[in-house]
Amino acid sequence: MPAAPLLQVSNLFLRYGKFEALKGIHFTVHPGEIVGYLGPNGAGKSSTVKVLTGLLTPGGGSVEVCGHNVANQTLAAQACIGYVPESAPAYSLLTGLEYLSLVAGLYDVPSDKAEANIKMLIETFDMQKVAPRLIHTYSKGQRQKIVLCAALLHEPQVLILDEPLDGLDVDSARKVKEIVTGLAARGRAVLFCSHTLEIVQKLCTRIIILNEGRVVADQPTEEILNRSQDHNLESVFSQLTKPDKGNTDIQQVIAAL
Amino acid sequence: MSTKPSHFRLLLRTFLLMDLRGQHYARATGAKPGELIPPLYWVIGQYLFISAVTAIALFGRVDVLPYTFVMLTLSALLSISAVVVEFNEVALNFTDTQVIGHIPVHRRAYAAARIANLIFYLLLFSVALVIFPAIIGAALRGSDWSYTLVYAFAACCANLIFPLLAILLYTLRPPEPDKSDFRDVMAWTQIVLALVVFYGAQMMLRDGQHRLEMFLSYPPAWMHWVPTWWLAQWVTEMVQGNAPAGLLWGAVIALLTVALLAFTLYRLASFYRAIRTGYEHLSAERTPAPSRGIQLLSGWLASGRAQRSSVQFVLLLLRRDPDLRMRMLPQVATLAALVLLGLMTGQMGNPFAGGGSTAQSPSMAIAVVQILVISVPMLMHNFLYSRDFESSWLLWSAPAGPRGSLHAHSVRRVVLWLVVLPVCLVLGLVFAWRWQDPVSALLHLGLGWLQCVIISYVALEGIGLKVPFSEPLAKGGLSGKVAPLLAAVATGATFLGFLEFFAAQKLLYTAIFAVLLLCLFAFAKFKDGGSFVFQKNNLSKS
Amino acid sequence: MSGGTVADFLRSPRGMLALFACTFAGAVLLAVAAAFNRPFFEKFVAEKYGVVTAQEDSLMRTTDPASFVRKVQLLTPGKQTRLYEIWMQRPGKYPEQMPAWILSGNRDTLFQRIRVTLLAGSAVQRQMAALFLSRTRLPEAKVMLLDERKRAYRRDEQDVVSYLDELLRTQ
Repeated sequence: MPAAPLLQVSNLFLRYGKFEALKGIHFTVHPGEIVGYLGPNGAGKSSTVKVLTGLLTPGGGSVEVCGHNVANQTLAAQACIGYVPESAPAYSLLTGLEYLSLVAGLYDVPSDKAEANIKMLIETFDMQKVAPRLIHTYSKGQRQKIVLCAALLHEPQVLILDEPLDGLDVDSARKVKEIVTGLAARGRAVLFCSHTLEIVQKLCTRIIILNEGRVVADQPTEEILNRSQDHNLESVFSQLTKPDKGNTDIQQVIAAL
Repeated sequence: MSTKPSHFRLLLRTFLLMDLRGQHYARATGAKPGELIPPLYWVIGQYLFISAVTAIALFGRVDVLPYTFVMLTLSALLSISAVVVEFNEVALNFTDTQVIGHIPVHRRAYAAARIANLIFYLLLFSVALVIFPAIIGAALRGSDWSYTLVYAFAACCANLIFPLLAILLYTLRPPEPDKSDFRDVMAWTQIVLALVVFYGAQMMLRDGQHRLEMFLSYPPAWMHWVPTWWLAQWVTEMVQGNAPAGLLWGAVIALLTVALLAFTLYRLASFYRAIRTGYEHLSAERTPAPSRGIQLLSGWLASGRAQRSSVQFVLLLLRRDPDLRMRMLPQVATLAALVLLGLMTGQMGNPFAGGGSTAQSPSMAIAVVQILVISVPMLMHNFLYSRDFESSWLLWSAPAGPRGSLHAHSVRRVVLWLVVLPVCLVLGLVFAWRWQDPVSALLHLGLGWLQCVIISYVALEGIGLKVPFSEPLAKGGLSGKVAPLLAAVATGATFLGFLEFFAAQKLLYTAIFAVLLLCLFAFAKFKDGGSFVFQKNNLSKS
Repeated sequence: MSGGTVADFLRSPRGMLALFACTFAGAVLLAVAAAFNRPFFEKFVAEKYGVVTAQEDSLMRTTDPASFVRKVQLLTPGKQTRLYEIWMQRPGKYPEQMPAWILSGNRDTLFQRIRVTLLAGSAVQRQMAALFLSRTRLPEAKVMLLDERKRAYRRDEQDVVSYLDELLRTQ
């Protein structure tokens, strides 16, 4: 019998005014899984993630994280999640170290453990020199690293990563991938949202594709790849999300530029 | 999970630290700190100055009760004004949701930290507003040193109660953060009240009939319904009357303040939760395309494609950014209120008509135009700030001259032609109607317009406006940073106002005054044009 | 401390708080200085009256009360209050019943004018106004004197209280 899912999404609906962003989404993420969450722009990925992390209240359905219902037990559910938001928001007038200490404090990580984890993560991402400076002065990649550190330092059971490799240099991206794989191997669940299909194809054990607020595919990576003759995720993605459009528009654009 | 004191402490410490750092480091680009004197310091300075001048103006002229009433009202008004005008920075902070919204912090702990942050800010203002009236009030006849303590307590309560009520009113409406109707109403209310107070203060000093002192000492019946009057009565009772009974009322006031704090905390906690959804709703709404009018206006105000785009962008944000409109409102509203006061008090005489014993004083007619001149730098300064300041990379990186002069000039043109000119036209109509003399009205406003144009060039340098919408609004940044320039401009404008007053006596003097303004205008344009050409050369060389 | 470190300190949160604290301390000193110099500020609290012309003076030196009262009643309220201002400048020069004669005009306007003096006049002017009131021997004037005594008592003005007591005794 497989372990209980760490993340369970059932019949999720979300509406912004008249616009239906999510139309009855189902999926689960079990311990040890790295699930790629894909979709074209506006498909509802970020909306799903905001509901999962308790930032938005859904119009219908339920989300359970580590057995806690996000709607009723929001704080308990949030405590299980390590979240890297898409645009890496952080308080820019704090130093990296101050920001990490704040996050550790808010997650109630004991101070000695917080200190050790912060030191370890800072060293891992080679941020020793940068960490005492104001985040305001950071490059995009440095800011991304600090937000990654913040997501990892309370040792979450569920990782929700929205474009986590955005702006990272090659070495840091490699480290993040290794960490994600390693944590999954130790029983953590990972939801990996990205537009970089090559990375998703290599890293994820299962892939969910979302289009116009609906799940259009939810299969292990190998099975998804088998849907196209060239065994390529990009082809499958194109088929599932915009099957009728070809390259003619692009050719016109290139000619015009 | 329940509310944790440790979360409250951590968040409060973080918010305070960021507020103080924001005074120097809130910049879109680069790590270079700002000026040595923080903007908040100028605001504190202004509050100290205003309260000192008002307290000294009343010192010896009125008794304890009217003195306390005026000082408490002024103090409460300025506190509300600080909260309302910079509401998003002070009471709400929309970035918190993005940064810590997903972290398990109880919303009451978060709201408590934000309220405590606000209280720190209000207490800082309160200290500035309390020092002079509390100490000088102790030296009033019939007062003693107990006044200092009692007044300080009452003023701190007033400075908390009224802004908290404003926040409560704000949170009673649906959470749509970009709708500014409520803040418009609040801003207008406080502008009108502030004008009444300031107008009263200046009238008191020069009114031989002592109408204000009489009004305050023999107040009409409705005055007994004004909450600051109740507080003033309590302070007077404590100092001059029955202190033990007053202590009981003091406890009631303290209890009310605490209860109001608790209720605001409760409302804010719910409001913060609801506001997230509100934002998402807004983001899903379709925004109307820029109107044809904006395109036509930008074509008219700018020459060249780049300048046109820049002007169009400034116009578009002027139309869509409610914070920007909110920041501009006080300047325009002040003028409207001054015109009304001038008309009602018979000080809107024609300066060019020649004096006579029956003629109305032209003081307010001249003052209104000078206030318009003084407001030009402030209006331009408002364009420096935006919640989307990080997006200003686009303007920084676009080829707009090494110092962003293209965009700065766009702001200058938009302010002059779309804010100042319409105001001038309306003022011209009012003067023409009042004086029954359109030529004098045209001359008066023409001279005023010329001064506005000159000041707009001065403001470009003085406020360091390079790229609009490129800075986050630090607490006190709005009025604090520009205060030294405004003081200088106000001095210059007052001097020009006096010159016009005397020049209006004879046509020849008026002509000399006009020539002087034209020379100043030519000099300002030459200086600006010179630097612009220099920048262009540098750009082409690089 | 070098210039750089002073600037750095002033830009730090601690430095900013120190700056605010120093400013507030300076403000307290200034306010205390102002509070201890009340007489200086009270020097500016006084009513200003126009210079008495020869014509006005001769009018006030009347020896025919009936004619004076008739003339007063024909004057505008503004001119009637002017008579009060003339009396205030040289009370000893005119007949003792002059205040009563002046008050034969628009009484409300004149009482209002006297209230202004009692509120915004200097100590001497307030005593003169009280004297004016007492010489009218009108019941309303006595009420005003009693109110003024209460106010003087509230304001700890012992000399004014004694003066008013004296006037009230003669009423």
